[in-house]
Formats: sequence, C-alpha cells, structure tokens
Amino acid sequence: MRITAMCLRNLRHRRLRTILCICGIALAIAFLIGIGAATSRIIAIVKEMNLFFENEIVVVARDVFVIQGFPIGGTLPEKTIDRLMEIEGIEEAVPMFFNLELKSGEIYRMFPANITIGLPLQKIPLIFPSSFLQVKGHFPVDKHKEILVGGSIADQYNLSERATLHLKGNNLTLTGIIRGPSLILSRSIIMSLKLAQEVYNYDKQISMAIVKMESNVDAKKIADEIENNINYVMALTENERNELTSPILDEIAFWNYGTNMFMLTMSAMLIATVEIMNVSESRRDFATLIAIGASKFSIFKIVIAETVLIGFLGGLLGLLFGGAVAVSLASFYTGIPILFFIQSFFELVSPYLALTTLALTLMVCCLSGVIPALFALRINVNEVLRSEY
Amino acid sequence: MIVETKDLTKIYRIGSSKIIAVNNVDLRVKKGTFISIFGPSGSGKTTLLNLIGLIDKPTSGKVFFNQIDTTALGDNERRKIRLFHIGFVFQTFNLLPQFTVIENIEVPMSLLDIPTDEQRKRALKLLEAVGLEKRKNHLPKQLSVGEMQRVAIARALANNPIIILADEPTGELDSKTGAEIVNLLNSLCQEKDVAIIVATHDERITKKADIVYRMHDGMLKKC
Repeated sequence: MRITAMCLRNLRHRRLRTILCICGIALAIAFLIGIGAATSRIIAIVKEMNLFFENEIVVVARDVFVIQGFPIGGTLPEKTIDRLMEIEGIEEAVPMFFNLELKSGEIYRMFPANITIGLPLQKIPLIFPSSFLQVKGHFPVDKHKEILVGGSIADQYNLSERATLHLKGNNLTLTGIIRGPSLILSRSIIMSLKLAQEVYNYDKQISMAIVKMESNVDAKKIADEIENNINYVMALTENERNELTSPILDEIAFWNYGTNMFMLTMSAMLIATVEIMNVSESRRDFATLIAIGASKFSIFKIVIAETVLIGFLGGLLGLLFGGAVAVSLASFYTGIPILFFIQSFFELVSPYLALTTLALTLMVCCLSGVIPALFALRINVNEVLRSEY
Repeated sequence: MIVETKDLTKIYRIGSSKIIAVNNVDLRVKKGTFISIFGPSGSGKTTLLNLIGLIDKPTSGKVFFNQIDTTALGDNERRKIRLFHIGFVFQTFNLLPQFTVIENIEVPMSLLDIPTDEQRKRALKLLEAVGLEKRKNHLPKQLSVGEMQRVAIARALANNPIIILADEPTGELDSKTGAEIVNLLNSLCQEKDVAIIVATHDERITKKADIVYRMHDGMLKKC
C-alpha cells in the first residue's frame, strides 16, 4: 500500500498543524543540540586539563577554586618552588603562571577567549604531552620576547611564524604555532614565566607549581608533606583533582540528561496530541480502507509513518537550528568570531551528537505514535461508516 | 451460489434495550444477479449489507461466501475475502480526499500488491468505462457528486470482485444523476458478470433489479 504517499498527503492536507508541530520539535531539538554541544565542550575541556599533569601533584594557593589541573585566581610567591625542592621525594617542581583572558566585567564567560601560560621555556616539552604539542615553527628561546600561540588564535588574527604581536604594550615575536588536537592549547599563548609575569604585572608570583615525584614515592604522602610544610598551599594529587572535578562533571551531565529527557518528553506529547487529532479526523478514511480490505497493520503503519516523518523533519530542522544555536553560544561566550566555529563546526557539534539526537528523536516519535496508532486500530468500522452518512 | 445467508440475525443492545436490526434473514445470491433491497431508513438494510460484506459479525446465523462459512473465519481471512471478492459503493462515496481520482481507483489494487504499471492500466480502463478519463488527476473535491459516485463504482470494480454491495448509491444524487449511476452500475456489472446488492429506498433502482426484496423491521421479504 502507498503508505508514504498517504502520510505525506495527510500531513500536507493539515499543513499548518504539521508545520507548527515540526517547528515545536525543531525548537526542542535545537535546544538539545545547543545545550549538548556547550556541555560536551565544557566536559571535553575539563577532561583534557588533567591530561597535562598525569601522575603529578599540582600545588596551588590554599582555598582557590581548581578545575582539574588549573586554579581559577590566587597566586603563590615564586620562592615556593625552592621550598618545594627541599621536601624529600620531589624530583622537580616547575613554576607555572596561568591567566585566563576574561574581558573586564565578563567573568561569567564560560569559555575564556585566550589562556596565557608562562613557564620556564626548557620545561615546555616536559609539561605538555608531545601528542598535544605539535608545533609548526620552533619553541621560543628568548625568554624576553618569544612566544608560541595556539592554532585557533593564529587563525583568528591571521598570524604566521616570525610575526610580531603587541600584547599589553609588549612587542613579542611568534616563533611557532601549536597545531594539535588540544582545545586548550589551540587557544593558548605560551611564553616564558618571566615574560608572563612582566606582561601581566605579577612580579615574582606564580599560579601553580607542577611537582614531579621520584619513582616509587606515594603521591598522597608527598602531597600531605607539602601541605604540612607550606601552610599557604594546597597540594592536589591526580585522584584528588578528579574527586574535586567529577561532581561538577556529574552535575553538568545530570542537567544535560534532565534537559534531554524533558525536551524529548515534551516533543513526544506534542506529536502524540497532534497525531491523535489527525487520527480523529481520518477515522472515515481509515474505516473505508479497512472496509475495502486494508489490514489493521497497514493503518498502524500509516500512523507511525506520519509521526516518524514529523520527527524526522523536526529533527533535521532542529539539527540546523541547533547548530546555529551552538555556534552562536560558543561565539558569544568566547568572543571568537562565529566564522571560526562554522569552519570547525563538527568539532563543536560532533557527528555523534547530531546522529544520536536524530536517532533519539526518531525513536521517541515512533514510540509517541503508538498511542494514536492504537487509537486508530480501535475504530469501529461499522459505526464510523454509518455515523458519517 | 456466491453468497448465502442462513438465519442471519443482528441484535444491538443499547443499555437494557435490545434492537433487532436483522431478523432471521435467508438470502441467496447467484453470480451476475442484480438484487435490490428496498425499505425505509432504519429497516436494517445497511446492517444486512455490512454482514454480507463481512464488515460486521452476526449475533447468530451464518454467512456463506463461495460455500465457505465466514462466521468461523478470523478477521484477517474476512479481510482477504473483502479485498479479493467484494466491491463496496457507499452513499457518501468515501473517496480518499488526499488522493487523485486515478489514485483512489488504484488503492484496492495496491492493497493486493499489483505492480504499479498494471494498476495504472486497469485504473485507466475503469475510468474510461465510467467516462471520467479526463478527470483522472483531479482531487475528489474538484468533482461533482455524480462524478464522485462514478469514481466510487470504478474503485469497487478495481479488484474484479464477484459481488458489489452498494448502500444507497443514489442517496446523495439528484434524480437524473441517480438514474445515470444506476444504469452505469447495472451495465458494468452485466458486462463483467458481477452480482450486485443495492440497498435503497429509491424505487427507480428496484425497476432495474432482477430480484427485489423488501426489508422491514429487520425482516426480508421477496417482492
């Protein structure tokens, strides 16, 4: 039987209702995609942070807010490094300056536009995994003026090797561009610790210290030792950092799932309501079809096909809207032009997210079509044919 | 004998009251005969057609279709008999409003999974037979009531049925168009050797019929 033709024409016949229903689903899906893309980006960044300092202790000022490896605010005196080196079991302590570029008055931003990382130049390859630090050009040598920048920043400002940058009144030379899979490094400016302290006016201050331990040393013991010896610091092992961050990630994931469930349930209810109205108006057609020999299963299929078609069209439209929402949100919260997010669209809205959302929408639409389909099957052909006369 | 009913009875219960819509009806239908069931509204004509057409189930009694007792059959077997052997013409035509004229005629054939080329060929022939070949791509709402009933007749003949059940086929039509429809129905069925049972209160139809029955209070009497 011509099920597709029948349901397409049924939907066209009730075009206003169909368009409104499709738009309703599209809005829900757009919201899901927008929120999903934003949360998955936050989660990806947070998870990535810990990849930099695996098996190391991060020492930060006491009571600062730490997301994985990175403290938000708070500084330590640089001499803390000397005190750390006095503790037995510590092989090396690398000072690091870390600054999030947040425009004044906009500290609510979810994604910092740029991240400045200052550390002793010779330690750069030791701190960042080589898989992340794929540099086009060379590492900085001159600690007073040479820097590396992430690929995203270089693309945004059209920078190339040997370019001169003006950063907060300083003329800096770009020696290399970081190309690699890291979201954080793609938005980073890496320079010597001294230069970072000068540029941001944090003389003799550092944000954190990365502590490398001797082999066969218990990280927890060393962390406790650090906190006992230096009373103004917090020493966090990898496990402790994960414990601090995982509730935040769980909370984000929980709200993400909650929003998904809510939106999908609302979509299901919308489709079911619209389809019950459609079935009510098609009772005579269905009764006629059954009278001339159509099986009840084909009637069931017509109703399900209608809901799936609405879901599919709503889902596709929602993906387009959602992509636009995700790109706009990311641009709004980072200050990075929209064009850069459009170019790397599938990094923001991953094909996995798009496909699973579409599949989930189709599944929900299919399920929400079952009630109207059962309603259609309960038609009393005799009564309908008679009463419509 | 293509259809035979024995002691066919249908009782509707509404609350505590009981309505006998069809009362012990015995009817025998031979191939190619034109039977008219004449009676006032509410006499049980539609119920009887629905029982013969296997749309409804009797309270008691039997309906035999090609010697097969259909009361013992399941819904799916009854559906197949309707699809293969019975054509329906309704008073209000019941064309699918979203399909064109030719597509409406093709619907019963598509239920039989006949190839689309073959469906189109047969539908065009039927449209020619009812004189509507030029209206094939029109929607039902673009037709007159007489034309809609012609399409309904063409649809009823689509799967080459052995019997056509027509419930008040001229009920919605003026007298001239009604007469045309009766003549068309009669000539097509004679041509194709198809039996027809027409439920009507239009006396013009009874004049064309081979056998006329009168129905009153659910009981059927030969005139």
